[in-house]
Amino acid sequence: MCLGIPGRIVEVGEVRGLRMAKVSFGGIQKAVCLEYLTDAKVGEWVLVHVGFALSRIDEAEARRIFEFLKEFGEMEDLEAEADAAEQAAADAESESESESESEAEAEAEAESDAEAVADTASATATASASASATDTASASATDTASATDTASASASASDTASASDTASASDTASEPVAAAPGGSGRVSS
Amino acid sequence: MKYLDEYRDGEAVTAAAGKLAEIVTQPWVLMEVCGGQTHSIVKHGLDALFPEEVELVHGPGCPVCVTPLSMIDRAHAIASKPGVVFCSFGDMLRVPGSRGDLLALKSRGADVRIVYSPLDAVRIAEENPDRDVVFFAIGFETTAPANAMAAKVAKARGLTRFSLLVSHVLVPPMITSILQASDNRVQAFLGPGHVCTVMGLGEYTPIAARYQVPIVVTGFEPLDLVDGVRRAVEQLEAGRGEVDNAYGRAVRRDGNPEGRRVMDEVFEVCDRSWRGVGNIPKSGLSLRYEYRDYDAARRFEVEDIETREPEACISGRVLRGLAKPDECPEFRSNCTPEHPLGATMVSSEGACAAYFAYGRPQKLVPLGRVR
Repeated sequence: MCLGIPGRIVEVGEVRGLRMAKVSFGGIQKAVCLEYLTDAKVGEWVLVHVGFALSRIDEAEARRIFEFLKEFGEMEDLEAEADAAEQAAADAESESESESESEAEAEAEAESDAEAVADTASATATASASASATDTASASATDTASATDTASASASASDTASASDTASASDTASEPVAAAPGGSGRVSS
Repeated sequence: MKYLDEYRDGEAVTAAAGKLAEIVTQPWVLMEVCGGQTHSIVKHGLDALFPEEVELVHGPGCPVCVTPLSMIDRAHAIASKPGVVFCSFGDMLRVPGSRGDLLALKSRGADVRIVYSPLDAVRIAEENPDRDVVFFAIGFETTAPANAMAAKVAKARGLTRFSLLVSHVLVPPMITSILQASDNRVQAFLGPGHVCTVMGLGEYTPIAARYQVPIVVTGFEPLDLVDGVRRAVEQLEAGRGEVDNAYGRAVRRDGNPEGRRVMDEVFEVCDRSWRGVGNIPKSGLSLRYEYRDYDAARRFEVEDIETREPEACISGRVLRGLAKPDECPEFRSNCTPEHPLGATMVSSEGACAAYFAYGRPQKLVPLGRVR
């Protein structure tokens, strides 16, 4: 549960005195508490731990390692590739989601991208939740997958969903379960 | 930028590893503190990319692994009580205590629920005012602000039947204890990137200065890790021992001050026993006096349970960087994730579980072909 997951804020508001946000993780949205990052705004990327945004992701800092490598001529065309990454990653997510064997999800996913609108994302979340509930052989595996973060989920996801081996695929696979409305407990029951 | 895939690009990772090979002249032992970092290293086969002079040993930063057996038994005992709703992060459920795991307890009818956020446990308490709802508050400084907020919100909303079973651990006392051990091999640390999003760099500066050890706060993606190793080796080769931030996109120098404020409001530092390691002074958090009514350990009387770890298990040595998982004769034979003997196999974030899961490292996929 120590792993943070980067996501983009799509909505901010207040729920019963708590600053909350809807954060999109590759098209899957979920509620995140903003009490520790109260000035975070829509469109910003944040790092989320167990439902709390703890840090804003600094884009300039994020690019520094690539600039370092470029400076030493270690990589050619790196910047161009980094820009292409956004598209590639969006494709990757659609692809990995489509492996979740759910018709509803396939429909939802057609419209889904990083900027997915609310209803699309919740459809995806529901579809994936049901997919994972049925896919998984035992309740135990579902339980484990549902509330854990990337590290353990990546292990579970590769076992249960036989998704692709890339880490991004397992990240994506892990998120919908956690994002299921009403909490993961419902998925497991 | 999507902040994930770019940092998994095989070409960039190879390029960064090339920079590392250029600067290393002698053998060094580095420890990555976090279980998540261990996983990324083993999963992507990064250690194979490093020059042979660089040895990585795996650290204690797996909260599930280090939660003491006695605490798991206590959780078990509380969750067994009639009327209790026991809420936990999912990865605690499979951890075997002396009397089995929480999942088995759930299958026998106990109301054990998985929550993603501690606020989910608060919501469950609100929805079930006639039930005792207990949240298993574990983790490092990453989960502490969230768990603290759950206690604060529950108190503000007057939820008298909500409580927390707290078993929080802190990173700096643990790495100090590693450095102080007479058999220590670690010469530099890849610091805990996500812990530092909360804590900042401040508490690591005196450790680096006192022990003359580089502490490079590092992220979790392949490129982050290779860059963190390079920066640490750069310091080692130059004879420096400083705190460096290689995870600048997420870690600010002062961390998250508001998160720390609420942590301090709810929790205080206490001695804590680490599974596989033993007691480390001032290495944990417990609820402050003002929150004593929310302390599940006070609310539910549980008799002392005698706990025993299998003698064959070397997880204590693994957690302190003195042994690698595959050096254990029980690894893969008598010890598997299904039937773990000890701490580092029980959680998927544990080093033994990582070795088990990714016995054959994955090949890095160059960007553009990332699926």
